[in-house]
Amino acid sequence: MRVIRWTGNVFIVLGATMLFFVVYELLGTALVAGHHQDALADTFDDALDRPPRVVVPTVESPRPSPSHKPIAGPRGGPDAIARIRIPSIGVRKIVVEGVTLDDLAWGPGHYKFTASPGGEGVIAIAGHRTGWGSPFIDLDQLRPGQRIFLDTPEATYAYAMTRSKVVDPDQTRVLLGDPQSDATHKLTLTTCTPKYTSLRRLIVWADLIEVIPRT
Amino acid sequence: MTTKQARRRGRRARPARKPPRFLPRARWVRVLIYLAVVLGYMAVMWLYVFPWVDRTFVNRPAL
Repeated sequence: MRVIRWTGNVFIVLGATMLFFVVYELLGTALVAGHHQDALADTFDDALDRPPRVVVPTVESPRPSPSHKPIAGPRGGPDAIARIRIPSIGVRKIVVEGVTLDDLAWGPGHYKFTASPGGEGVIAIAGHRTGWGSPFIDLDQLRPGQRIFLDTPEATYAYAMTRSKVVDPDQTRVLLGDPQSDATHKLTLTTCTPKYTSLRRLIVWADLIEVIPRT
Repeated sequence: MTTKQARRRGRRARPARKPPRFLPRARWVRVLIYLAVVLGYMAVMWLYVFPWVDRTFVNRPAL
């Protein structure tokens, strides 16, 4: 009888712990990420209010100046490099420099070894699917042709989604962009899939189609 | 003295009853210890265990 009672108690504690973890994952991390994003947005919007630092970019030469520098983030936080907007799935987040889990606790992160926004080559960005504000929770609902915008102090870069793919975590070649695309300026977004696990990675590819200079 | 008067006198002489306590003192100590253990358990989970589970099993979006 005593054994049954203790077994029951253990299961009650385990169940309560699992419920508490759901609260942590969905609410706790979202609260922290929300505060981080607010702090980043303050510094980023200040940078947007200043006049552009570079020559006005064009479609032919989207990023004419190599002087693109990340915007210094808030105290203790990573630098901000752009704001990503995906209107079709309601994404509007500040992208930070770096993709360590500490960086991603602040928002979607830019793979440091890839191109900077508007730069020639591929810019790659990773974001959480669940937890930490879940910036890319609906990334699987993005359809070819839908727009992805990257706002920077120099310009807004508009990308059109081309394809998506699910790969294993060791398939780093996907960071090179859509192999079926001939575009010179590409974007790769990565996140976890299926939702609530990190078993595989969902990859979304897009090509640069328009540059809207900031005046 | 009538019987009625004697009864009244007897009632007055009785000591006033104390209001009932919600919990006896010894039980309060047990409740506080129980609360401290639960809060400590939740704090350890929130600060150490859950972040580890999150990083290891739930969230690794980068390649």
